[in-house]
Amino acid sequence: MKKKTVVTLILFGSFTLFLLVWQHLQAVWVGYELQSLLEAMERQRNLNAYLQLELQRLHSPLRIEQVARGKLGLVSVTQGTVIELDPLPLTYAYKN
Amino acid sequence: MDGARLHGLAAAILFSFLVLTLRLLHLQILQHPKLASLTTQQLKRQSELPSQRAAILDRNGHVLARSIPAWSCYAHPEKIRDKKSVAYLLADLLQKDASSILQTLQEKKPFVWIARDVDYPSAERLQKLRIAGIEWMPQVRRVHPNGRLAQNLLGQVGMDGYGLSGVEQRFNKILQGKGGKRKFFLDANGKSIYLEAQEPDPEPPELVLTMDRNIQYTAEKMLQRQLEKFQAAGGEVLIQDPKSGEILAMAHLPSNPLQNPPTQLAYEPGSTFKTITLAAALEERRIGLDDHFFCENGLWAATPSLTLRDPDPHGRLSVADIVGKSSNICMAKIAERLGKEKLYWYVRAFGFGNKTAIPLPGESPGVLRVPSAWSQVSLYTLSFGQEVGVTSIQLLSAYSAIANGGVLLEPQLLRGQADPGGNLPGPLPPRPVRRVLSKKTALEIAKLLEGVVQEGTGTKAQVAGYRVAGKTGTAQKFDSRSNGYSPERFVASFCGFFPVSDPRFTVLVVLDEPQGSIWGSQVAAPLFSEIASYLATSQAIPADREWVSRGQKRASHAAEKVD
Repeated sequence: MKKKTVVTLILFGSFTLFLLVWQHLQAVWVGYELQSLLEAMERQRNLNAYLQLELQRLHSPLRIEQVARGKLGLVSVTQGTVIELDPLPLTYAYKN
Repeated sequence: MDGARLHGLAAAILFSFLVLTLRLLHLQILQHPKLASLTTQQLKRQSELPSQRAAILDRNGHVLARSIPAWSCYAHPEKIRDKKSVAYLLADLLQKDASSILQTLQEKKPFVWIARDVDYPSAERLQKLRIAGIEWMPQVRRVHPNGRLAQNLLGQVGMDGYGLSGVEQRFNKILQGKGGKRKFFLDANGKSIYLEAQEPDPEPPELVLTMDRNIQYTAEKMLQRQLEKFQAAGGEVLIQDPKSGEILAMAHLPSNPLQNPPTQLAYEPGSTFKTITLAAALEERRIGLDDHFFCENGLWAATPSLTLRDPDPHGRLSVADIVGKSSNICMAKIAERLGKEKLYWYVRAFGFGNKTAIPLPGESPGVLRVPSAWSQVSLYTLSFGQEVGVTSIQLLSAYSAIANGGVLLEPQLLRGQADPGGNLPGPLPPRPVRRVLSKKTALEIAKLLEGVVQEGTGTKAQVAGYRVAGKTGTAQKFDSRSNGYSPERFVASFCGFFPVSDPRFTVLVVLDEPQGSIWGSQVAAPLFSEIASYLATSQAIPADREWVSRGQKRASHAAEKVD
């Protein structure tokens, strides 16, 4: 066997081995990354659920009434506050 | 280096590689299944994900109940070295007593619960600390953004995620998701590594009720105010659309998520039941609107064992006045004309003694004995709402039948499920149970009940601008200790509908054991008026053109006399 062939074989073997190990390490590293991204996504999803709940609590009629009455000084609509006018007869509207 | 040495070195390296290759072949190919399975056992983990429970919405899409993630914290005490520091750390973040946590950690058990149902922010802070021996279990917490609103109707969910009562129990199968599993590898340091793609647990579609959150809120608020005013033990307000049977509000106070008295508890209704007797007699033509009855001046010995009394003495009264003044004596005489069998038939036809089929657990059919089991006085007492147990939902449905022209409808509570795009289901068609009355009789009854509100016991139920029909009720409660009716404990009620020209709402108001005044006309009718005014304004109900106020009617009567 020629010297050159032996060296080539050794280099090729070493490179293949290195490639295999590197590929395996990369897969593990990407696995860590993916898992951490999944956990981050889960955290964001959880946070979103809490924020949505907070939004719904802020929209609850009890809170809206407290703000409307307490801070804005509003009062409930009572009879007569809103008067719905009869629509004008079509002929009247047309003539005028 | 000469050639021989070089060849020797190369051979040695090649031999080493050959050995390594053979070993690798042995491990990777021959031993692969065994070793792979051992690795999987050691490193692969699978965690159960809690199932996502669907949200419950009102008819307009407002969230009434929903699930959010939460965590339960547990410990392996033997793995914790400095128990005292850990206890103080946990107590600080979980807002709990440090000594009780320390006591728990000192228990000689392999597993102890530290806290259940911890909210997301606190749990996240604690999880980041990675305390040895402290573990977390994901779970789901049921929350109500509107606080205690409609708790009796919505019900409760247990720690295991199963509905225990109310809508949560009745629709548990629809609400409950399937849950999921998460697979991952753990490295030597306990850090997780991604393993494979997982299908997320599909969130079950939201459940949409017929209930209106704002109407329910207002009903509860007004009921609470009335309970405080009359120091009543409890109360109910039920609101229904008489044309579709859809329930818009079902308030009961004091609220208990494990019980829904409007469908589960039966009580003697008292005079609100007179409407049923009257409807039966009119439908069977045993009485006419022009008939008159003698009310015995308030005292009548109907049988040797039963003497009936009216709160106020009356002489001869027309049918309209009998209802308007709520005479027990004359109502008993009307029942006498009708007879046992016919009265029983109509009471059953109106749905009493049967479940209404409202989709809620534990519905009571009420109490209604067959005529063969009636005593000599039962016909008389039943005519004005004694010796019969009704649930509020039965009474409401019966009045809705009169309001819609004589058809008993199934009360509806569930509209359906929202589609994946979040679109809400529309109104449901009515589910008729049976026709109880002809349209003509239903209109006659509505007219008579309108008279109750205009000039009779129900004047405080009037709503300016709207024709209202309804009937008051004041029922003595049965006292099991004395085996008779209590002279002190009453149920005051008012049931009615409006606008009479085109009924949109049937409203039942019940107050249990009011103090001060006991009369339905004084206690329940004003609350009906308040609620009806709110409904008319908030739902933009056009005013009745034929509406005549009590004062106007008196004035017109006076004018007629002058003419």
